[in-house]
Amino acid sequence: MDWIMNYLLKNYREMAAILLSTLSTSCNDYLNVKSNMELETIESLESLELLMDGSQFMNFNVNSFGEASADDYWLSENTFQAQNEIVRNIYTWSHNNYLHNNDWAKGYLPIYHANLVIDRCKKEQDKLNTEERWRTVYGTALFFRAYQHMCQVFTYAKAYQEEQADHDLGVVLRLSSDPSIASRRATNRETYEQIAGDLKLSLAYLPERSHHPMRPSKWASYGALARLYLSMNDYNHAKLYADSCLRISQNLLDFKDTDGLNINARFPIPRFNKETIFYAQLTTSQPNLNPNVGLIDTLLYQSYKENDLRKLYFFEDNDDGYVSFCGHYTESQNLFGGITVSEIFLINAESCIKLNRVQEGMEWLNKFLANRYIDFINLNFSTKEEALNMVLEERRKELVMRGLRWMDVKRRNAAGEQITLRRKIGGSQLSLSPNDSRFALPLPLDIVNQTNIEQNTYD
Amino acid sequence: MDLRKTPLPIASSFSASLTNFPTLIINSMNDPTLRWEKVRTYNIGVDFKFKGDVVTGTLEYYEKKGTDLYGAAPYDYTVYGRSGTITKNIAEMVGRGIEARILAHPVKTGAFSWQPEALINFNKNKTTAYHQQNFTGLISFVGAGNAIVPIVGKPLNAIAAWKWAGLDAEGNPQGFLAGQPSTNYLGIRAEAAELDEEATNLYFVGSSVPQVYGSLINTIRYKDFRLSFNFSFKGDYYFMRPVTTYATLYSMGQAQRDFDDRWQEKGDELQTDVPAVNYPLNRDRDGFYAGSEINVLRGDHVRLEYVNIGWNTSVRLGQRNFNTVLNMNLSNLGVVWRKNPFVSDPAYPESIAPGKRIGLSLKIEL
Repeated sequence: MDWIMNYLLKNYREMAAILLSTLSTSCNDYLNVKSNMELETIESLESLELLMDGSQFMNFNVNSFGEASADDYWLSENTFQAQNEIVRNIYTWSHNNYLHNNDWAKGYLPIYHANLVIDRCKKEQDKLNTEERWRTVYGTALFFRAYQHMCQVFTYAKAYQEEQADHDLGVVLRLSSDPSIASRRATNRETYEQIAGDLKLSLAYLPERSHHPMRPSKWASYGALARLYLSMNDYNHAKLYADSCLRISQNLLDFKDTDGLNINARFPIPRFNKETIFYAQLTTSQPNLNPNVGLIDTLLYQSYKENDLRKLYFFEDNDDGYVSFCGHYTESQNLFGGITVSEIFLINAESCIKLNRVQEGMEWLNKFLANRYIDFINLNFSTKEEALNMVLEERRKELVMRGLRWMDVKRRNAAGEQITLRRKIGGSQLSLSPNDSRFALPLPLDIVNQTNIEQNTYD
Repeated sequence: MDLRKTPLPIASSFSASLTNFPTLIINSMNDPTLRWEKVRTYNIGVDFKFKGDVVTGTLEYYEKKGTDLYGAAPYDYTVYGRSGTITKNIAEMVGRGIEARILAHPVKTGAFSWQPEALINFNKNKTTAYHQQNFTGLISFVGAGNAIVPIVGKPLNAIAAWKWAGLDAEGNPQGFLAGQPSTNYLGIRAEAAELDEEATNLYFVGSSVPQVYGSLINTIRYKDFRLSFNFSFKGDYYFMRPVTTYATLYSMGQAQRDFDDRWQEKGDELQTDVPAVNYPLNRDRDGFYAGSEINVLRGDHVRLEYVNIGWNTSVRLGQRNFNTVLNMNLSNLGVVWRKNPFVSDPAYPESIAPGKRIGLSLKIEL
């Protein structure tokens, strides 16, 4: 067998040599002439569309650094000790000098692709006014750029607060594919305005629904805007966009109707189900978030009532008496990072209550929960506070391990709540109190050195 | 020269994950500043002959000057993200070398002839300019060798290593920090990065590619038999011995041979240089040990490339004579001499060298 391999290897080299020689003859002296026919450049409408369909780049790069820092999960002592220092530092909110590759880099990759498309589209103003495919690809790119900037700002910046928005640092806004434009950290106001601006602009170009949940739509842009404004504690706008989103479709997965869900499957929730408005996945950079590694917070698990079907579909028992998460909308161990109808129902309910439309908010909540519980009886409230707590509790239970908890803790603390995160390590307890600067996670060391952009204070 | 380099973004096609949509993905970022590399070579040579045709040969001197050379450069990956470095025109180099070929024919009678042929190359190169800021300097050579790391005045492929201060009483590897033995690996690294050329806790060892190489081919004929064999030589270079890192051991279950000699109890530090097992993991400790001077080995070795035996005869079948050649070829015969005592084949420190091969052929000319 050895000689066959050697023969193949030898001939392979010859083939490589032939390839190289054709390559060099087909090439002339000008660098900006495409030097190899196999390598495509980005000019045609079709190439732009193909670029936006690259799900492993465009959809699977949602930052998971925040989720790994949040408290939906915990690590056993043994598991913790077996992790490398970077992972241990993330878990303990300790200072971390990390380098490429990381979720900062991964988050800006789809932004770069989106900017190539946006830059190209801007040269075709006429077609953008008239041609449906050009309009869609442009709107798609605007959505992706906004969505990724949003995931980045939830991770690396403090929660948006109107009074401090001109001082608090946001993230780097990459608005062009030109690499010579230096990165600088925008303020939180600039960052949120840019994201909202891109999303609103995308509404003018995107179709109402897309052919596939991997592709953005108006439905998705409205949903992202609702999430964005909720994170700013701007309930008026959150409500406005949640309504617009739900006007397009309010399809919820009915957990009582088991034909879509499969309790015998390792991951019972079907992928691309009808409540998926936009499909995205968190990056796989964080080993802690793997269901075989991180366990679900025990108090959180206990808060699910017995007739709550999510208790059944979202979790699986481990032999050690703890539970792991299995309710991934990805139908795999990758965490879902997109937008669902359930999230928008919850945004709508919370915003209504915050705006003193408590009855209306509870109607949204009850309508949603009827799809999650067996023998559901509408929840009643006596005070606004009580109603709000019910929504927030259901939000936590519904959106567990969705990459949203980190943002939720921050924005709720910014609105005056006192949520402290706690971890137990080796008998001692660590905590992250509401105003801790560490809620803005550290930027990569090599980026800070390379660009001189300001690092988050992280003591 | 890599002709695929262009200032435009380059995409290649994929099938998208989960949807199977046809897609394009950018493999290389647009970079308007990228230019082609330029290489100029000057050479001068002589052909010589002694004692009729008994000794012939060529001697050539060359000088190669490269400008705008490609190299991996750190950049603000916020603009692209996919890779931590991109290719840029970052360096200039000069290489000088001598190539000699000597062919002798000391014995030539009717039945017997012996014809040795020697090829020798001397080659040194160094980086003459490097246009890149924010570079970490000599420290980048630690454990390197496979990649081109341009540092002015040093070879393009080079190895640097940490000074070794032995194991401490707990079996931890020690380097030098402020001149004293230390296990503060981050501190050691920081000191080296800060002092760069002036650093005393690491040093430049040498080239990681052979600066002398050659081969000696002997061809002997006796009547219808022909024997030739080829020894090749590579010298004046260094390589890193593969060692156990506990990160790899825990995550992939892989250890190297040094694991058997690891520090296990007090006093072992006097006998061994292999660190104790540690838990939880400390990648800086692993990295320091792997990049320390005790693991840098000389790569010089002599290899028997092949032995070829042929028998040329004529076979009579009926009315005709057929010219027939029977040939046996043995190749990949392994290393016959090496300077380092640890790694049996310096060309394959981390993998198994290709196995010996025997080929037999019979050729009949009809």
